[in-house]
Amino acid sequence: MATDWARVYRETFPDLVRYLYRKVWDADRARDLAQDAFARSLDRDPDDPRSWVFTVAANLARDEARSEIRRRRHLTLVRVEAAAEPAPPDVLERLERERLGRRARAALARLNDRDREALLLWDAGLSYRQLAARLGLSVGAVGTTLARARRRLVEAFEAEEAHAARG
Amino acid sequence: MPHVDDGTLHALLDGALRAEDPARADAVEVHLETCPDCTALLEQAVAVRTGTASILAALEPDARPDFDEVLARAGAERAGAAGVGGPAGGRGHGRATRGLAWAATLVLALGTGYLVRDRLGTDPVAPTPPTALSRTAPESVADARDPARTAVPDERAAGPAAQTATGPLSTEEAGAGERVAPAERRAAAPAPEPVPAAGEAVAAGEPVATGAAPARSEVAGRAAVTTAEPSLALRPAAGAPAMALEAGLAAPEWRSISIAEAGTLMDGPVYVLEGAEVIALLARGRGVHAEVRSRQLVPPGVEVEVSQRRLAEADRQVGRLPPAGAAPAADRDAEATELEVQESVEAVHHRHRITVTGALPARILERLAAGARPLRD
Repeated sequence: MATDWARVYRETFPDLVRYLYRKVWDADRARDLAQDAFARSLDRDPDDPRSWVFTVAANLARDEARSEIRRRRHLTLVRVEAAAEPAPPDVLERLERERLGRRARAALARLNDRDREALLLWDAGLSYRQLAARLGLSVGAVGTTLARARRRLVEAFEAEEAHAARG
Repeated sequence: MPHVDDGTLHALLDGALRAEDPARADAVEVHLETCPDCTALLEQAVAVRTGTASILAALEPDARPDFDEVLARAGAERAGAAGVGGPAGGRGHGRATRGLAWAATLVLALGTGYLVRDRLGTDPVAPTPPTALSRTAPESVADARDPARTAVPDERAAGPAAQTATGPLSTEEAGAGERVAPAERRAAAPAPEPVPAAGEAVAAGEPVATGAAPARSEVAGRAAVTTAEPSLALRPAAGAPAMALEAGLAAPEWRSISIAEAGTLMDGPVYVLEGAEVIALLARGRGVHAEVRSRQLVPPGVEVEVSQRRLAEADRQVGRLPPAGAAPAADRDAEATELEVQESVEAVHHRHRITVTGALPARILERLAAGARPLRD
């Protein structure tokens, strides 16, 4: 039976954007890549559509990373322009959110590729079986991988907090 | 049985162990009830798992275009047009770092040992064998032992919601709504007339038709504060008739169901709030009139009620949430600072309307509702 991509899209897209965002760190770009992943999958009929589209998305994100340096230069300019704008009313709250986000992102960056991928895919809703297939692990090893990845992420986050506290 | 390793505990907490090997999940649970070393390890695993969820929640994107855009893009690509386009940079982090001050508190709490020892060790309710719900909803096994249900050094944990979460209701409630004893579990099942006015009478649409519409906008149609409405929430709202709450427990049409059954009933995923754990799942009605209700535990230990209904096709085509019933912003803000008040918000996810009721500020509930995700079976 042909894959009901519309249904897969409804049930997967937010998770896919979340997954991609944590790779490319740009919500618009993540959304764009997620759409692209679906667009490139529509004429396929995989056994596991959800897992399939995550694989396509991961490949797109990897390609995306290759242009990261060029884009970073652009973002720097954007940031300089944004800094000149007047502060919003609730600036403290916003700054606090940004601070937490920066440290969470830095903590995630401290993980090795496999741990980070396991965490992001699990958080995006993939099952242990799907993770095992994507990561080349046995199902039984997924729990161990996730346990290690989670512990490292929390430790890295706390290290980021401690580093910031020391100034 | 030998001691349990960290990976197995995480698999148990994730529901994967029960899905893959139910007999081993049973054995691990039995072992945990008698082994303090493994219980301590479980406590750490729960804390790390919760901390991870909080950290990742600080890294949220914000977007959901319409599927038509995908179709259009696919057509364009087949015609040889450019593939990945769109702006680089730009708005970026709209919801990416949304209000996680409490998450930071939670993470900082990791070292303070706020865990489940009392539940797994000294709590007389703890040895309750796996229940019907835990059999059918693997994640609830972990939920019943979630540390967030016990004590967290968060200011909200000192409030009434946390008190109820630590009370004698918790473990058995997680088991089955059908076995609820009304006097002891006033919040374990939906009220007899649960929020239908806001839910059924008003058409709700899917506010995601435009490509740039952020998920945040899904909560734009939140309902009025439900201080006078019977609710599933643990603490009756001010003015809520306690008898009605208890009567609701015996309402025959409500039934405890599994996640899979709920998914069938909803013709789609059952939604769990961001970072929350489902601790009870009930349903009533059939077809488009079906409603699924769940009690969900939001870190750091506040229980909220989540009602899910299918959107009628006509409602979805409206493309917007109902304007009626929303409290004036000023009122909401005032009440948001008073946690004695039950707030209720609505969000639309795909083909479902989610109503979230709980003793949290509306802005927090909105954030949770907007981040609701399909619950894995």
